Parts: sequence; C-alpha cells; structure tokens
Amino acid sequence: MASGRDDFVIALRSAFLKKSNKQKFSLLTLIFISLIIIALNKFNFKIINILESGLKDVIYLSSSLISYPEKKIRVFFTKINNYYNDYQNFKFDQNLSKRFDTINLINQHLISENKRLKNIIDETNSNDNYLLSKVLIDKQNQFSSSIILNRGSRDNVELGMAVIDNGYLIGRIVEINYSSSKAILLNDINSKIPAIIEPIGIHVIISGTGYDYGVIQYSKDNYEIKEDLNIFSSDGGNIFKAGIPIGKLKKDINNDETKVEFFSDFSQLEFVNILLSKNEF
Amino acid sequence: MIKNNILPIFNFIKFYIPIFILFFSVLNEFDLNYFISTKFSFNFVFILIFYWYLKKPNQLPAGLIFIAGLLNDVLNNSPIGLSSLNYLLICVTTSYIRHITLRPNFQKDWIIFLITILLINSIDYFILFFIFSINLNIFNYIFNLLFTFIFFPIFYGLFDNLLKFTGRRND
Repeated sequence: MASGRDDFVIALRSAFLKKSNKQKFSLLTLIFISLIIIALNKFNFKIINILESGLKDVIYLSSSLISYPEKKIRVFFTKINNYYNDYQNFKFDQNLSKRFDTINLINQHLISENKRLKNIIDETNSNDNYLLSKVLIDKQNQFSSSIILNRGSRDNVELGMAVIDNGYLIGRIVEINYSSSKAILLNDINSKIPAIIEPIGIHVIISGTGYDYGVIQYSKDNYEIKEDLNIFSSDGGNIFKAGIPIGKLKKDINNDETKVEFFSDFSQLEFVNILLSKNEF
Repeated sequence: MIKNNILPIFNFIKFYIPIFILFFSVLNEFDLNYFISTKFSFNFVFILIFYWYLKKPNQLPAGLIFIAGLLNDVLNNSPIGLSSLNYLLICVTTSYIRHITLRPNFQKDWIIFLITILLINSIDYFILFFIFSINLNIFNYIFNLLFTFIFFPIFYGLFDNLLKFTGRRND
C-alpha cells in the first residue's frame, strides 16, 4: 500500500519537476508563472496593460501575416458560393427590377422633400466623418466575435466608436493600441446595444449570441414583435448615432423565437469604416 | 558541400515540425465553423499538445507551449495566461501518464484524453465565469469538447505518421 503511494508521489513529482536537457523551467514553474500572470491580469495592473498594448501590435501583425493565405482561400470559396447564389437570384431579381425602379423614384422624391422640409425648419444635416480601415484579423467563433483593424490611437480612433460595413452597423471599438484597434461585433456573446424597431418605434436591446444572428434581450414593454421589421441603432445611452441600419427581425422556425438577422455578413469583412464623429446628442 | 550544410538545417526543421504546427494553429484564424456549422468547433491545439507531449516531449518544449498559450490569449481576447495554464496542465497530465504507463495503447490514451480535456475545460470555465465574470454558453463548451474527443483518433493516426517522419533524432 505504502509502495503504491510512493509510486504515485514519484510519478507526480517527476511530472511536475522533471526537466529535459534543453528545458530551463519545469512545468511547475511555468504553471506558477501562468497563475501569476492571470492574477495580475485580474487586478488590472498598469504595467501589464502597457506591456500588453505593445505586444498586441506585434502579435496581431504576425497573426495577420500567417493568416494571409487561408484568408485568401476563404475569400475564394466565398466568392464561388456568392457567384452561385447570385446566379440563383438573378432571374428572381429581373422581375423585381422594374418594381424597384418605381420605388427608387418615390424614394428620391421623399429624400428631396425631406431635405426641403429640414431647410424650412432650419435643421442642419450632420456630416459624418468615416475612416476606412482594413480588417487585419477576423476572429469569430462561439466564444468571441471580434475584428482587429489597422487603425489606432494615431488615427484618432476612440473607444466606443461605431464600426460600419456598407452602411450597416457591425460593432464598436473596444480596445485601442497605437496602430491597431479591436472591435467587438454585434453577434459577440457580450455585445449589447440599444436599438429601435421601425416603423413601430419600439426601443430594444440587441444582444449577441455567438452565432450569426442576434436576439432581442430587452424591450420596455411586451409588444408583439412581427417579422420583417427593420432595426436601426438608437441614440439611447449615447453609444451610437441614431438611425444606422442593423438588421431585420426573423422568426426561428424551430423554436418560434424572434431572431435579429444582421444586414451585414460578418464573415466577409475586409474593409470597414469607423464612424469618427461620436454621438453628441 | 552544400548538401552537408543544408542537411542539418533540414533535420532541425523536420524535428521541430510539431512546434511549427503549434504556432501556426495558434496564430491563424481558421475556424471550421465558417464552413460546417456555427456549433462546430474543436480544439486542435489540445490534441496536438496531448499527443506530442505524451510521445515525444523533446519535440515540443514546455516553454514554447507556454508562449503559444500567451499568443492564443492575446488573439482570442481571453485573460492572458489562461491558455498557457490549460496547455501546461495537459503537459502535466500527459507527463504523469507517461511515467505510470508500461504498455501504452490507443484506447487508454483516448480515454485519458477525454478525462484531461474535461478537467481543462472545467478549470477554464471556472476561471472565466467565477473569477473574470465572463458570460459563457456552456453548450458551446460541451460541443467543443465532444468534437475534440471525436476528432482525436483521426489526428492520432496522422501524428503517428508524422512521428515516424520526424522523430528519428536522439536528444
């Protein structure tokens, strides 16, 4: 019995402390270092933050270089897929085209009328200042959905700025380094943003799920929310400029829950815009 | 002459292929859930470290595993040091198993791998949820764990062949 216990202790000690010829640290030492780093991280020491910020630029760049070939392969496959889908939609779109022409004319009329009416009541149109940015790293899985952009504090990027793809809101800046920044996407499990459902005008909170859709986490009253209503950003909480399109409401066939289908495809991000003008309302 | 100069470099690269694979898989952003399903994901690095630290620890030094963990944390936006801790705990388990096992076989390795990743994921979940208060979906962990376990035999076979190719040097 005692010999069995001795064997266990010897094996355990060997596992933790034995070093091979070229190894400078034992596993136990490295585990302790990891635990110390986690503890420093938890208590948010300034020196760790400075070191982290410097290291991140280098690591992001290395990751971007290593990921370059597979990024190109992914884009290639996505393009093939898109071409196939485009072909499928082509015939359907032909029929819709004439109808859209008419709608477009009505839309143009409404825009010009809106401008004319704004001039009458002396309301100035805000000029948004966008900063084009390249997506260096696109890290998306169930645990985190974020992108690394090649713009940082030197380009006057600030925390909380909206990130926009083709006019659609896709996320916000959560971390800034000197020459890069990190944006959390709307489908990230920790993303929660104020929004408004139009045309019924209900204010809601859109929460990420880790998948390619979002959910309505909170609405002030229990309104019956119908399918195909559009969702726009709201200026609640002074987080974003109001009126940036986000997505559309869809019913999940499997469990009858209401999903938010984002307008932008987060897996296809190559270049995005950072909205430099922060919400001043 | 040139052959004599190139051969040691080639042997060195060949011997340390597992390290290159480790750093490549940590630094790249490839996720199969782009193509297959949003629920599909598996932890290739766990399989890689488990296998090589079990069979040939000389080819995958613990110090470099520690650094790979730090890089993974920076890229995944998780607390710095957490992945290093996970990877090193795999090393400890495999090292212990190597010392107590007289006749290693695949079935034993597979079961021990399951126990190891269960332990590692539990520790990971505990630290993220209770210490860092990060909101986590436990089903994602379960799917990840399940697929990692299922894919183990495939990579075990592949690594066995790779080991025959790389592991002919005595350190």
